[in-house]
Amino acid sequence: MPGQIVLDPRDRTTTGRWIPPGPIPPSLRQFGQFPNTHAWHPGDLLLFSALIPSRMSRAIIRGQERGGYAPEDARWHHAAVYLGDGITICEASIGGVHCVPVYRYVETHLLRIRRDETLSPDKRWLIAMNALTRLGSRYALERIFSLARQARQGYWRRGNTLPLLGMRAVICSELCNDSYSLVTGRLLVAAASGTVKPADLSMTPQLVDVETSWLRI
Amino acid sequence: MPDIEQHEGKILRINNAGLGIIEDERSQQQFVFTFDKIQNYRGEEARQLGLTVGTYVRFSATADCQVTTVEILPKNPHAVRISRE
Repeated sequence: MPGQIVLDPRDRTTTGRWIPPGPIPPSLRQFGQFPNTHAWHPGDLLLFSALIPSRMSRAIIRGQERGGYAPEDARWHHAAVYLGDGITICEASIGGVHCVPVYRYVETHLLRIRRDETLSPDKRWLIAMNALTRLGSRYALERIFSLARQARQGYWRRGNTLPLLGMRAVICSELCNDSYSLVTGRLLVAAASGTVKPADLSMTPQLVDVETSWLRI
Repeated sequence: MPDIEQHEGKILRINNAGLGIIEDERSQQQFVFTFDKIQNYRGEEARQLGLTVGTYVRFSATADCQVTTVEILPKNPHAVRISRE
């Protein structure tokens, strides 16, 4: 299996210039780099791994490691869908499903872009649109707790399904996975518990990593 | 026309976007379906259909795992068979 293609904020190599489309956070301007989103397509999966993880991110990483994932997959603790406009992603975070500029992650997180190369442009747009249909859905914090409990038994065990908690709620990796499945009718990952985790999205061979680089602001 | 196979399994996960995941009872293979594949579906929510995690379904799928129809079973069909024996 090929190695992961990761965009690291500590890497100061740039391949061109990015002109912001409007105001950007001063800290980002000071950081001086922005991902080359020209290489990204709508519906692409974005995986994030914080250089200094928060308590919750650490808990997800630890849970994924304890549950049986390799450290290089377990380190991805957050996922989002790229919407195709150069800056915006759709994500499920503690405040629910919302659209945000990717700005907030570029200085502080390792970034990985993954894609199903077999999909047509129309299907890619549909994945982005399907993610948007979940806007405003609640974040399924209770599912995170259930996943933490399952991690102790190991995610590889079958018959370890989650109770029907928060069908209207969603976690970040499910938002990405379900948007893909609604369009393609295929599973990205056959997780034993039925719940897809960021580490599953890191592992799935149905997606390939996209080459991407930094641009100078 | 692709080959279509009949399966039985139970719901592993559903969401309110109209998506469900089924685990085949025999092979333990997972299949994804959208609610429009449910027989006589008219836009109901999962709750109105009585569809929850663990609900038994009979479904047909193509060789490349595309689910074509889903029928919600009233209860565990295996439990019925056992009780009749």
